[in-house]
Amino acid sequence: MKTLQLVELLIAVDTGGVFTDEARLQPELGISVLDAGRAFVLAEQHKKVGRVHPDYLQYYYPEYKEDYQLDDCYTLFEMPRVLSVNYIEDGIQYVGSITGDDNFTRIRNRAQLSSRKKHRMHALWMNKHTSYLYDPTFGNLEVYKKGQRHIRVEAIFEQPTKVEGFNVEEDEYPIPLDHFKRVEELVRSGTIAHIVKVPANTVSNSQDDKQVRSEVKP
Amino acid sequence: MQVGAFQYISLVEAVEAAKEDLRIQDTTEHDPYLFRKADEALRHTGAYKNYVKKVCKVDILDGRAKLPVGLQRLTGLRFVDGNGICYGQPYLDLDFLNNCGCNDVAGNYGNLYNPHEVQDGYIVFHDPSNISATQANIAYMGRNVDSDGVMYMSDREERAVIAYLCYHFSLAYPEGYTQHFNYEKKREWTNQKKYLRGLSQKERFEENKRQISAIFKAWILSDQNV
Repeated sequence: MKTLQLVELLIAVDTGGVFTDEARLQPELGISVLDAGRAFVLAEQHKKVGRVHPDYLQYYYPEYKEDYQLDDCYTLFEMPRVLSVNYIEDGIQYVGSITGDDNFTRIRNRAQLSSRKKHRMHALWMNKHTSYLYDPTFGNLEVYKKGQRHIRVEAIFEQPTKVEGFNVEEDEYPIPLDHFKRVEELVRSGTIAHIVKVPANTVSNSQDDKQVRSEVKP
Repeated sequence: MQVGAFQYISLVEAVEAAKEDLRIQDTTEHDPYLFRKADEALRHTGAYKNYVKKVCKVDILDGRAKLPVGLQRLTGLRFVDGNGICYGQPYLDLDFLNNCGCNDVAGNYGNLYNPHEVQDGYIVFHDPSNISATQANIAYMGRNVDSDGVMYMSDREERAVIAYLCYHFSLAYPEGYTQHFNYEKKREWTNQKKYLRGLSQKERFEENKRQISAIFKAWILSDQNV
């Protein structure tokens, strides 16, 4: 389903399907709630079945920018933040050749990069295979191959709607529908449920117009 | 080593197969770790097959020559002229020849102690000014490794290596694997290692027998013995 359809479903959870623009979550907040719920459900589902549902993945083709480069040793690309799946792996499944047949070797962080350079077998591996380091602090992807201008990324991004090229109105939101049902449950039972029920204080009259609505009985 | 009895495959193949068993195909982060462990596994099988006779050409520079990776024991050396042709007396390892019962040959051709010695991966010649050659052919016993020092793996060793990788990975990340998985992989590795050693012993025996048979056949058929 499309992003806004899912947000409307979330917002209308406790109103019997009635959705009014003025009373509830702004779409931006709704998308944030959806993103957070998706992250939680992803980890939960991965723990159960041991693999990631392909619907979570998004393709991303970072653009090579000459003035963005800092070092001759690696090629730098911009990269949106990705989710963690579990303690062994995160949401990056593929960073490699644009044809999709050469997955570069992941380096988790700079400490690991330093450690690997100190062991002959790891250093040998790095010499023979292209490696990459994802730096979430600066939103960078360092590909340790000089002149690597075109790459392909398949990952589970933290904010899928913010990924370059994603169209909120037309593209499918990357979550399987059965997993979305779990997000709905979380919204209904979690702290967000209270926020969902509170109308927005949008009238500029110095008054607190918010009031908690009673739940709609079936 | 029996030529054609098996084929070499890349350690990366064992790494990929182990990743499938470990259910970590969605990430490449642990590939170098598994690669290192695969090399470690092969070095610890202790099979004869992992040690082979090899020959190669080395460059002599400033009275010394860098030895190839994986060298365990130098068995012979002969200088090479500018046309790539060997000349002069071969230098042979006295211990090796003694071990083979060829003391007379050793006496005739000298040994390694006088002209050079091995230090830190180099042959260092004691009298470099007397050496006109810039290259030498050497024969040596060494580990069965490629030019980077990584062990060659035959297809029959793949199962043992995969079991070793799974065993060690599940030790490193016990949260994701049951104790049963770890135990079974350890058991498989132990059994496969024994199997490989036994197979290697048998092949070495067959090879020795074949060589001895060939020598005796040549001796019996020699004109001098008719």
